Amino acid sequence: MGVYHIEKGHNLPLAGSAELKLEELPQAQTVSVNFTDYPSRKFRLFVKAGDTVKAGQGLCSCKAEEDLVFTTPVAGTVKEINRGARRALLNIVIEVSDSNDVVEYPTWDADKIKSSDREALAKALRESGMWQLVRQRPFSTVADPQALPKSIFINAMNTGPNNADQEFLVQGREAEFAAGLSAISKFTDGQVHLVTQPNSTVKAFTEAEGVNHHTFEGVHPAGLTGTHIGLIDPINKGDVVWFAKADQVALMGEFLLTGKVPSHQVIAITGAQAPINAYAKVLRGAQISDLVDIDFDKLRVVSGDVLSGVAMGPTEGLGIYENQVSVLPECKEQFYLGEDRHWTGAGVNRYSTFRLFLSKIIDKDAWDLDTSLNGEERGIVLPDVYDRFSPLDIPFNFLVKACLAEDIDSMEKLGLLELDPEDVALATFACPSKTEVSEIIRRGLAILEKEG
Amino acid sequence: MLRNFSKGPLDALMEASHKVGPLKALHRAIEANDTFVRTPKKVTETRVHVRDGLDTKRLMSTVIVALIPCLLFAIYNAGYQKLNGITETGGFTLGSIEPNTINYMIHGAYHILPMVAITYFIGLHIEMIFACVRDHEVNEGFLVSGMLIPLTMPPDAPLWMIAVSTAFGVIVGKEVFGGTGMNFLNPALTARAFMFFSYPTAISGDQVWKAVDVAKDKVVDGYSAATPLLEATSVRGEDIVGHLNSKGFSFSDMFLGLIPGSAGETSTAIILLGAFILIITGVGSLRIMLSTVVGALVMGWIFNIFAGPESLGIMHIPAYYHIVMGGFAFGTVFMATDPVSAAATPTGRIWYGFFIGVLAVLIRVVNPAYPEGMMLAILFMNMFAPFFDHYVIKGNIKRRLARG
Repeated sequence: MGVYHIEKGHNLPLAGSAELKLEELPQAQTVSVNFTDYPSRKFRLFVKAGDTVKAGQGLCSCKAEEDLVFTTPVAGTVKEINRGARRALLNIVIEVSDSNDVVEYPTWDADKIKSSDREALAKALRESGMWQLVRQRPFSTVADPQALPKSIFINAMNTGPNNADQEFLVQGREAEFAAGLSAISKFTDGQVHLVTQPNSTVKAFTEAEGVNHHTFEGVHPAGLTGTHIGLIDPINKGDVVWFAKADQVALMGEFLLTGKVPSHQVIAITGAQAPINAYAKVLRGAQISDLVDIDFDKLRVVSGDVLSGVAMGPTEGLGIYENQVSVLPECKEQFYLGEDRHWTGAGVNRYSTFRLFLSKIIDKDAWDLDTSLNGEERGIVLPDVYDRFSPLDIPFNFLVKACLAEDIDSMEKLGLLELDPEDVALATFACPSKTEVSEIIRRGLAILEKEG
Repeated sequence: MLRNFSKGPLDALMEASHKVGPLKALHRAIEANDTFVRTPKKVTETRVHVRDGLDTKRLMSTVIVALIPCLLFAIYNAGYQKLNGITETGGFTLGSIEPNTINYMIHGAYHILPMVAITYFIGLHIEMIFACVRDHEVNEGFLVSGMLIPLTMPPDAPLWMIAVSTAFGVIVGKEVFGGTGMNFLNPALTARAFMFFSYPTAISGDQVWKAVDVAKDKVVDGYSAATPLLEATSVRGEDIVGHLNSKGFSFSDMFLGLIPGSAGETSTAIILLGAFILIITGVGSLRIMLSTVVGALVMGWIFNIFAGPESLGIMHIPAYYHIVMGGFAFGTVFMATDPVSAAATPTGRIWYGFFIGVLAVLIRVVNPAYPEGMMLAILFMNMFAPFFDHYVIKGNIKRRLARG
């Protein structure tokens, strides 16, 4: 039971946070099941374009692990199967029908979960497409049931820009969360760590059983799983830690209790440019243009938050691990010498973590940041910036250089295995040389993963 | 406003220097000009969709802003030293000149501004050539070095020597290693070191520290262009403070800086103003500045202990005098704090700064040939910066392995 206060980091004061209310949105007509969430996996398809599918039906399985099935949350017709470079599977688009055809899986009650063995539970989750909600570190890949973790982390809080509030998402879902938590807890002989904000009002969290309950507060990245793991039970070479977000644990619990793959999830639609800033219960993977009317030429729509999310096109939907849509304006303008947003300008409208612009003196707490790079990529000139934005004991400047040099030995020794690209997103944001720190870390992790 | 009449020509130039355009070879130079006048169109293309407003242009400009007081004082002081040291000059105007502020600035500018101009001219052209040939963007690093180099030179150094030294500093101090962010030596100091070793008579001795040409100008009685450091290393005995006072070099004289010396290095007061700007904006490392001062104080104090009645005056000098003498303050605030060539870890920086201070005083006291040790101390510590970082990182790795 730890209480943690994070001081190293930064809260991005982004405008357009979702109001804590559920908005009614029209039902989406198309759903996109994403496979970009599972990089470097190959899939064996069960369906082809034109097939009718029931809700919860398997669409494909992973070639390397044939028992890991990927299912559709809705009933309908397979509209498209999109592939990318080297025939990599990008997504499967389902046209939603009103049919009530549902694949009925066995139901599990609280006692059955408690008394079950790991294999049975894993099988139930893997054949229904729910297992994927649990990931493991290092590498943030789908958890491997053959490599049991030393501990499991459930993230029930968030500090990122306009993140969907876990307190709001899980409020009232005590039974579902407890069921999911009970199921996941089976898979470790070590501790299950539940991290919430201080003074949580959600009974599901405060009355959770069999967990070590920690609270984190302070500046972002206090809410990132990487921070929790790094401060509570850091990953050393050879360790495996599993993690999941609290609302996804509730989804797993919903499946176990009802025997049906959950069709809906509550998401937050955020960003000052979005037509609404509220939560909505939508089909999982709903095509974004069905949900909100957005001008994709002028705006960028991101699955996730602006620090780590993936840009979406109009026909795409949220990734399986995301519960937030972020809308921000694309920067199409250039600013000239003498103007405020030029690099010589006073900078009243230029947001910065550094004390070099007039914006620092202005009391503005909601910024509609655009996608401008605000500079150009240069060599790293301020090597100590990155360390200011993470509480982890990692020398980030040297780790970045080890990744660039592909020095595998140094990458490991300097703690790359503890990181996910989102853990260095703030460093990427702040770097005046516009170094793509998150991408460098991502590539470094890919190299390490390949080395084994 | 500027937007209206420059957008057209700028767009046309960028178009002409495009991959298949007629000005293709000059693409990087045209692009550098373009990004000076207007912000680039670049947007984020990875998963971090927003970025901090600070870029390297603004960062470097801030250091220049911190250096402008030094530049203005350098101009004033060059004029002051000259007009108070002569009765007539055969150079600029005939007859005697009234010693007032305007004339100080005019005469000072006559000596200082060409040095600044030649440094920027040579340096920026070399940067552009490298950028065009290697096909990368022109880096902003030279904006700072270009201001630092002339401020470390004697006020009347021959321009061609400065040009050659600047070229050496940019090419060998930086470009050879890959440009801004890749250098392990401070490029401005590399230029000065080249000047020092190649043209020693132009940068040392007791004639060069005022902008007075003893051949052409008629000097006053008792004229001397000796600096406090030269004085302190040319006499022996304990009453060095008294000796310096008698030459017009009391602590407050040296702190204020209206004394002979390198162009921008004389006034500790003005340098402190620059330090304040760098610290308040978070650009300069207070840690390095303080540890350098501490190192100098420690070494100065050690020498005080070992100084005997026949020792050189500089051994007897109170340790805190070192800060206001010579190029110590300037080097501490503007050279040692260069984030690329300094140590990168916080602990490493403390050791780095400390040993710069120690070495600067050590060289001053024991070097028989040349009394200024700051430049050499910083360059030497630039080479050792990775050494300090290496041991700090080793500690980090050990902590991680111990957890496992």
